[in-house]
Amino acid sequence: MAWTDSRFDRQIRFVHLGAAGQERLEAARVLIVGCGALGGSLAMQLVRSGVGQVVLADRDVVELSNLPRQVLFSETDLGRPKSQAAQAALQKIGGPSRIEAHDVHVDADVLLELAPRAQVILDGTDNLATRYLINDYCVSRHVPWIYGGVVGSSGLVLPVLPGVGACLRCLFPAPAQVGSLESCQTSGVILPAVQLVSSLQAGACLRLLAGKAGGSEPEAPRLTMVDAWSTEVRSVSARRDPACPCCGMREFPFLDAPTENAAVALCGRNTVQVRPQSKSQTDLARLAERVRAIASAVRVHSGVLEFQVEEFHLRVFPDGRALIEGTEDPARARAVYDRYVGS
Amino acid sequence: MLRLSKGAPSPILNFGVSIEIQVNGLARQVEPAATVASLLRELGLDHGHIAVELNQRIVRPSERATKALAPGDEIEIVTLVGGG
Repeated sequence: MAWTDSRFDRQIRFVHLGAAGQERLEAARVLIVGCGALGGSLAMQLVRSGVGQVVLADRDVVELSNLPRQVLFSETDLGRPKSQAAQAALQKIGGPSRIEAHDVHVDADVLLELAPRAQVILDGTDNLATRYLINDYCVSRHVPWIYGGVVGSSGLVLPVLPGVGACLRCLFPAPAQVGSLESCQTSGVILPAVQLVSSLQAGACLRLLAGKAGGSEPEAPRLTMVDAWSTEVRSVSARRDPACPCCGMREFPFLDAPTENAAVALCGRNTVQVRPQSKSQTDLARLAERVRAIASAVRVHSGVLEFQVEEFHLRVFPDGRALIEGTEDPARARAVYDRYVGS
Repeated sequence: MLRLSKGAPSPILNFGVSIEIQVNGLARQVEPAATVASLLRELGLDHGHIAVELNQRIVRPSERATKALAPGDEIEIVTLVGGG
């Protein structure tokens, strides 16, 4: 393999990879759900390591407050869909990776579309609902995924290897209610914590992809806590719970749920995401014409229609999804959506 | 990471019958009749989004009310983290 001759020389010299391991990385496909802080750092590590196919999915656009910790984005990316901006930044690195970008909200339908050929799914999400959905998918299909969460200066990592160790619900049977946990909005977050967590996730991912070349057989992974401020590292055993509703009883409510709420508040952002009732492409140019008479600051930028109306700032995506800033009330946002975007 | 301050001394301490355990690496006094569940209540962590390990074994939510604590027990408590 041409790449492995020089570009990846130092990786091939790493005893747990070698040429065989490097070839496995180049043959691998990994789905990264969420492309912000954790997801961006994960994508960078995978692409630089030479993972062959990296699939990115994110529903959000780049904002100024992302720049201190979301390593793939620059000021020139403000307002751009994160998946696209990330893809552009990653392509500059070069190398053998093919990078797919999906500007979507990952729900059960989208996950069933994007995940099937991935050997590992990496968690770059910012919410628990999507993580429990990924857990359901991966346990039901026997695909490994690597949970990572970060807040303040600390975070958690758990490689979920179905059949080998605990799944997310063995340890945390029910997802926390919205607002009951610390979030990056309420408690802040610093880049060193993001890098610590994403690096543990990426290392576990490369080890999984390297397969037998990676050394020992898989052992039951541990749930690891790290803190970039206190430099504390702790871990607990992550053995399977035979009574786990997911990997024990094989119930997959998050995957089987028809659709989640069509309008969800994005935690602490004064923004609600509204999705169309039926899936179809939206003609943003026509919509822009329609709203121009009543809205201000109408523009289409990187395939996203933005406008200001009443006290709301709307961003509408080609799949009909909209981010409505100016409220945290899903019902109110839904009404704004129906009024200006169409039901 | 979970920050634990030393708990206020329980009145029972005065009688010298409390037991000492380790919670996330810090020493802590609890009543002799303490269970995992009572410790979590004392710490304000009885909200369900935590994993608890007692002497390197996970304690499931259903076992916490009956799992008694003994001197020298080592407890690790991990709170689910949602950010990213």
